[in-house]
Amino acid sequence: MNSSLFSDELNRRRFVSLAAKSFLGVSILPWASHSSLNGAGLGLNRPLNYAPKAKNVIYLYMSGGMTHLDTFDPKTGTETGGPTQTIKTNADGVQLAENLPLLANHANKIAVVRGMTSTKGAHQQGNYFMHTSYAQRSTIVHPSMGAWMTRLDGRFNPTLPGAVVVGGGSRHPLSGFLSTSHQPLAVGNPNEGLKNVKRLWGMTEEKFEQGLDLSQRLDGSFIQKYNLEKVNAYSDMYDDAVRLMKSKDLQAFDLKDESESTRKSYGSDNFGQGVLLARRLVERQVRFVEVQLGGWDTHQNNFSRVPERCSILDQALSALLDDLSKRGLLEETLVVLATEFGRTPNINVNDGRDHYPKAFSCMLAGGGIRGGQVWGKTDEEGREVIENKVEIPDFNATIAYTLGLPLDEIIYSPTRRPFTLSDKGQPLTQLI
Amino acid sequence: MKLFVILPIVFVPLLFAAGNKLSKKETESEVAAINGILESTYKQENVKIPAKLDDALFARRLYLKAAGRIPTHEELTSYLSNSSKNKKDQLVNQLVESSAFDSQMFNWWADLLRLQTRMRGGNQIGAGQLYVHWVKEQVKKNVPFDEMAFNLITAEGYPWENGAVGYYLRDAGMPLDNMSNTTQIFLGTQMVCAQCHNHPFDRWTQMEYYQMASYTYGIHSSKGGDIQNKIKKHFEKQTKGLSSKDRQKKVKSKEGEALRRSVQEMLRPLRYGATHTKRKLTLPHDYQYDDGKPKSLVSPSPIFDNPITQKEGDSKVHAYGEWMTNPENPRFTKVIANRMWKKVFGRGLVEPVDDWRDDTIASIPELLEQLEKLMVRVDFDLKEFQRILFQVKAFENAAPVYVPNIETPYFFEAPILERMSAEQIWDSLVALSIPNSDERKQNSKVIDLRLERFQQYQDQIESLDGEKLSRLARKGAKASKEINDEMEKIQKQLREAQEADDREAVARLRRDYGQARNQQRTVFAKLVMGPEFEVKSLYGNGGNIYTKNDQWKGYSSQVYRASELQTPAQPGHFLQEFGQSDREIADNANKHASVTQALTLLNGTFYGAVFNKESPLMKKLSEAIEPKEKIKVLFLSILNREPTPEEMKMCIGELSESAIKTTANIPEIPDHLSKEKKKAYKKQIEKKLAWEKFNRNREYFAIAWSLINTRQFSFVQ
Repeated sequence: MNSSLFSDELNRRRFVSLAAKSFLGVSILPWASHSSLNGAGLGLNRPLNYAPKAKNVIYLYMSGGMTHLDTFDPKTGTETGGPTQTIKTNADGVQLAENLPLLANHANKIAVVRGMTSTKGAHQQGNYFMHTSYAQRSTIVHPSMGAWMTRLDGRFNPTLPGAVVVGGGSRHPLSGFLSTSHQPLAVGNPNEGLKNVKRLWGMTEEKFEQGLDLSQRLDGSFIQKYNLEKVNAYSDMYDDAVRLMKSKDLQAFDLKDESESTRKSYGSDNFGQGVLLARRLVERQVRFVEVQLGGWDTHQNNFSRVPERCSILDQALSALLDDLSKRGLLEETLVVLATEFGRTPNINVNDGRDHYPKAFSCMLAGGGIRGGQVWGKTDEEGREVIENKVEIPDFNATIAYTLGLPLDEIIYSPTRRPFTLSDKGQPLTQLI
Repeated sequence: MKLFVILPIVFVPLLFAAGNKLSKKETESEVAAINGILESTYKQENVKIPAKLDDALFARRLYLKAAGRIPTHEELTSYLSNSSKNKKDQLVNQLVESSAFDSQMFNWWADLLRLQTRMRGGNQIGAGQLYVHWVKEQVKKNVPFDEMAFNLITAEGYPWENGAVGYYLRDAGMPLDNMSNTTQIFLGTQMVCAQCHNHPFDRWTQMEYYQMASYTYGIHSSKGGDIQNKIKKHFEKQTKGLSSKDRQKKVKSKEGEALRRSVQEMLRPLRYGATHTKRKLTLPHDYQYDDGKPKSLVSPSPIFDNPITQKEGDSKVHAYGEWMTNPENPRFTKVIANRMWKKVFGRGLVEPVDDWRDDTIASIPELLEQLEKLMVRVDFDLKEFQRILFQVKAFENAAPVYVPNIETPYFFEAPILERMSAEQIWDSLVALSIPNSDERKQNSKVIDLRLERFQQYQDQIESLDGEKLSRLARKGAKASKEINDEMEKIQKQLREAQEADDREAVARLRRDYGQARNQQRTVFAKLVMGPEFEVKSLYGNGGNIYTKNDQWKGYSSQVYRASELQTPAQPGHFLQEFGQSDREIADNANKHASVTQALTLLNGTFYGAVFNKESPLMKKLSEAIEPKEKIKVLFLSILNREPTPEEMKMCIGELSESAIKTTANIPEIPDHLSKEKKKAYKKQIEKKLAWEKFNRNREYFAIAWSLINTRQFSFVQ
């Protein structure tokens, strides 16, 4: 009953979009004629007032709470800054911590958001808030951005999943209350690619099809009796799995296709290879690829552990920005760097920093974002945001805005509660 | 004659009467009370009762709930052919006493307590393994739930003395978070928000949080301090005559440094454990409410009205533990009764099970009350409690064809339709793959040996006085000098390699460093304990716990039930893909569908074990001759029911002619051949027949594959 309402709404928007296209003779979708876009939902569901540049997202998540003071918001010379030095970059006005020397050469491509602030100081809650724009509740699971994206704007590649999460752990909210057809695909180890995509030894394609058909016939009366979301979800997943097995784009998951030098340039660790995988996937129009880098929970030895984390991040992120721009993909790919919270300006007795949601930094690049800028400011010691505070829903609204996703479209959960993709967040249009 | 048969049946229930076990009559009356409440609820709420499950599907449900896996072909057929009138109750009584029951109870505990074999606290000495072992032992002994909770909360000592200290090592250095976990697990109460500010949705203030936390805030998760003091005192005595300047000099000298390091290494195995100290909790520096000043001392106070009484000679934490686990506590008993109800019926009378509020109302309040009474009556014996619930009438009914949503009350006409948990699916596949799967276990001797070695080490160190310890430390400093220098050198090279970003060198140096560290540990352990001492017991997991056992010769070395594997399983393991908890937060398992699950069931490597020719499934399949018999074997083994005539037809239709053929053509051996040639000929024929048989079976594999890929397999109706 509800779903027909949604599709009416979708159809109305689609009609308006199509009407605009045919009556005005202009396409609001510069890539709509692209031949590889034969999937469901061709991104017609976009606001008319803004022609979004971004199509897909690579979302780098720093799990554990990335220190802002030793990465994107250095405070050299103050007590809270610690021994971390500040370096110049290739963009006037953008300064970074010495821990990100390679990224400094790409600063003209990035927008640093220094005014991030949140109220969630525990990992689970903070991580959840950043991924969903909603506070964690025990009665519902909200969808993560990748799921919202395919829900509101469809997939672009009909055989690959709409969203992929690399190294996300079992806590990821994934598709939340949205149907499992929007479930991001979880990949554990990027080097192993996708496991179990080849048929069992000795099973021909014909046997495989026959066997599946038998399964379905045997299940007929069960599925008729238990016509439930959680049962039907498996039918969706099987459809996706079979489509994936047959996809000619499956090769995207095999990093061995890349030259040795390319693989090396991203770094040989799982994160670097995951970022490389992300590039290969967005090339094939996977809409949203998240790659996680853990180990940022530096309660102890912050000043030896952060440089180590940063060297992994710095290499992968720089290689990605370089690679995307060389391939002409940076304009249509939004690169996001996010984390659940920052770290305390006060350095604790273990030479570490504790959780600090009050002020922290994130980063955006590509996808129509104006590079070489810093948005927001913290005080001299990195304690308070004193200029252009950005709440997490605002940050997520900005991601959605660059993609042209409808911020005000209400989606109802199965329990009939209304939600929008970034709650009440407002986009930072100044960044674009 | 007849009398002899009846006698044992009559007397068995009497034997059960020992301990917390209810007699047959008492059991019947408890079950009847629950049935009565449910029946009057059905009437009142006009609930339509689903049909009863047939024997086969009932057995499937009961095995999954009580044994954590589907029944084997033998188990199922013997149950079906049992003509006894009370065979259901017999099966219940049999299963709760099986080791399979303990296996699934361990999984339940592991999810609740966030058990990790590789636990951060005490990781160096593998304390996680000792904690896991302790929980397993408690489950095996069926320690009552209240006792278990009390033991966890009041745990003190070294992990080998008392594995329960893992409860605090799990949250080492985070006593406040540990308290939030305690209220969530045992009181079903979410206080975590109140750690930083008054709870926005519940009544808890930050003050109440701090007052509650101050009972356990004194927890100290590193030990060995008293031994260190012994040594320190001895040194002080020795340097007594020196001026403070000289003393400083001595302490800061190279020898002083080496000596300190030596002491540290010597005492390393004794570094982790739990002690409840008198450390006081103060309010945070930015405390913002009127009921307290920032940084002021907090005096402990419980969150509910039932008072904490501290008897003389009792510690604060003991009083706290008693308060928590007392039946007078307004939530403790209800919360565990409700959790157990959910475990059996798939849904709690109160949902979510760990977020109770003052205004929380159970979907059937009378039933919750009854269960609370029952829980007290069986003295928190969870096995006995579940034994009663398994006999409730509604447990025999087919799952309703709707999913009750979380906001509308559910009246429990039957357990709800559930996907098997990750552990249930895995353990079911294990039971198809290896014989006696419940008995294939880790080698407990390895862990027993570890416990023994630790105790010996502790006893030895504790038996030495300050002087002897100092002498040992001096010896150790000398003996480990070379290896220490080596380690320093490696570290320096490691730093250089990191700066030069030479990753290969970094990896190599890290390995070298690990080896050197092991050598250093060996030096110290042997110094303290003598040359025969096995140092590997003290660090890591103490060697291979998956030792070979002839009973499973020829079966994959990775096919163990979930409770016997590393917990949680590695990322990417079957169990993780099907939603086993990553054990980061309590109750974190999920049953969501995913593409990787479908891919695993379609193409996963586990089929290698299931289709192994020695697997119980394949053996049964080979024993059956007629195609119809073979198909019946597959249905009974996998879906745990007989195929319907239409299903049989569908499956037969899949088979090729050669697979349907039951007798192979055995060619005769020509008489004119020589003896040797005849032998060779015979061998060839045997080979050919085996190959034909294998090929025939392959077609049945395909049907087994189809069955495993049905929803009926992974859901419990």
